[in-house]
Amino acid sequence: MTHIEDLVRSTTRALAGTVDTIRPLDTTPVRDAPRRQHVKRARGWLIPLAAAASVLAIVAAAVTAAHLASPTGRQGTTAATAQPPRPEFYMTATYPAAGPNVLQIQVRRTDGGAVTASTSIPAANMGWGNNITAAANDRAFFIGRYPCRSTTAAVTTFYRIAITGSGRISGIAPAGRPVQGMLTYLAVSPDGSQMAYTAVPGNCGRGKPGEPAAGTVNILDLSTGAVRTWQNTARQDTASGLSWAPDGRTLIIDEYAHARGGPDLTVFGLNTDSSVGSLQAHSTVLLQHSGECNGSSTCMPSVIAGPHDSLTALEFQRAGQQARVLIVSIPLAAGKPRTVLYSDLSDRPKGTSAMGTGLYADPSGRWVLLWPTGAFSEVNAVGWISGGRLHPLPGVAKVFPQGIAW
Amino acid sequence: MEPAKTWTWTRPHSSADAVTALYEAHALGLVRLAVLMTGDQGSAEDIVQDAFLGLYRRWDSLTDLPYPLAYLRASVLNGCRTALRRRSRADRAHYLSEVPSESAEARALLSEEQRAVARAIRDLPGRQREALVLRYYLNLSEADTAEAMRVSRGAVKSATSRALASLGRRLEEGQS
Repeated sequence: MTHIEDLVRSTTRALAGTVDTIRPLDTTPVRDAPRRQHVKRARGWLIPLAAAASVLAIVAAAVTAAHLASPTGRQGTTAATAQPPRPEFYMTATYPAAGPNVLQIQVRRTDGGAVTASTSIPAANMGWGNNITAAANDRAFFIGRYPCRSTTAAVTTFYRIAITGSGRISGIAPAGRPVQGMLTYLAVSPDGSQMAYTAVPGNCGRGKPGEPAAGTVNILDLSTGAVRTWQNTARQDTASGLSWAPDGRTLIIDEYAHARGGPDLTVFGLNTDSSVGSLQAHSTVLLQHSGECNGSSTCMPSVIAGPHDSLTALEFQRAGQQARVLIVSIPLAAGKPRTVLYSDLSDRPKGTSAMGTGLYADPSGRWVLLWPTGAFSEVNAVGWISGGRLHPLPGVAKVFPQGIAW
Repeated sequence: MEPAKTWTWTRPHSSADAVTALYEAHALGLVRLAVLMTGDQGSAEDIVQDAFLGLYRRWDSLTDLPYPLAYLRASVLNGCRTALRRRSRADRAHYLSEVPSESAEARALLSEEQRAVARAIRDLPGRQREALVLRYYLNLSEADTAEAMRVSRGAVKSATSRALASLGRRLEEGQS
């Protein structure tokens, strides 16, 4: 060390030592105004550009006004405003190559499919159906996790995965309290306050329909940890799907049992404000079907879509050696015809089973995802249904997730 | 019954808690750094407050920030540069007459030689002053100094060497 370096060191320390107290941190400016306004000095060349932009804006406004004045224009606008925006992010869960007991979670943008966050969750396994669910604000996802242990009874813990506006995971924390049983299906209420779930006492996929808890639907209050339970008093049917109506009060429950000749489907609309007890006593039967999936019937899990006026359901029709995949909207009001939202002939021969395909709606109920959940699915791509078409969801074309939500 | 928190991946604090804890741990040091760069405590405190508010504001998007202190240090240096740029020449002349090295407290604490060094440091170009302060006041390595200044290690080496040479010349001139 040279003399001059010594001098610099001692001088800067002595100078810095003259400061020994500072004022405390005041975060008021951020709390009062979350986003700082960056005001840049206008440059000269921006003036003609701004003038040109103003003229363009005026012309665009005039064209839009003229369009709105026409009957077709008004109709189109009404439809556009009724449609909530498509979710910005979606989350997937897959078992990595290492196999079960670890879940690989990814957050992706629905436009372009870019991965914005990725993490692994240890000692976690899938339920029977979709084990991810999303709340309405597009910033909170929930998963159910249960470790595989042969020596202890299965316990499921729910986790809330919060993401930022840029799609990064900002936190994963337990929600509510752990519940007994192995998770089979789950759905979080649109406001993210209640978790509807079904669980069976088995462990690591060894649970069976018909076990004591099979006909039971539970709702866990995520803030208090209180669990309310409704029991199917008629039969020990197996829930095959849960979804919330956009009102946040009606829980749509698909239950089916294999009756003679084919699956027997009942779709309940449970009033969750009701007292606990019998599922039948507090529900409306929205849809019922007995018999085989033969092309004129709905035989697969449903999701509600729209403001309480319709169900969206998945159907399969036999078409020679192939299967036709249909997504239909079924009005709840009697006498109204159903609408085919999507129809496609599967290229998989002899496929009539819908067990390998899932339907999942966003919390608004308007944006429906169709996704193959297994190797035997008749559907070859994950995508959303709009305008009679399946729009492939970017980023999941090659590897189908075991769970998906948006 | 399995405990509720068998596994969790979450940031240790809320943004407010985390930034407040960082402020308590590092703000004084950063204000001292800013005082060495700008020369007055009022500006230095404003700059450091701004750096912490910036961190608070972006906390959610900075989930992968491994070393918040390095981020803060770079923010403070940037704030110092902005503050110095904003000062008009006249203001700077006024300000320079009241740098801490000439205050009553500094006169009591600093020797005549150290005050000469302080004046010489004050007159160095900004980058050279930054390199000197980071290397000899904070004892940062060349790599860390380069990261804080957002320049290459070579640039740090060069700035430090020139600064020391310049100081040597100034002090020799003062003695002669």
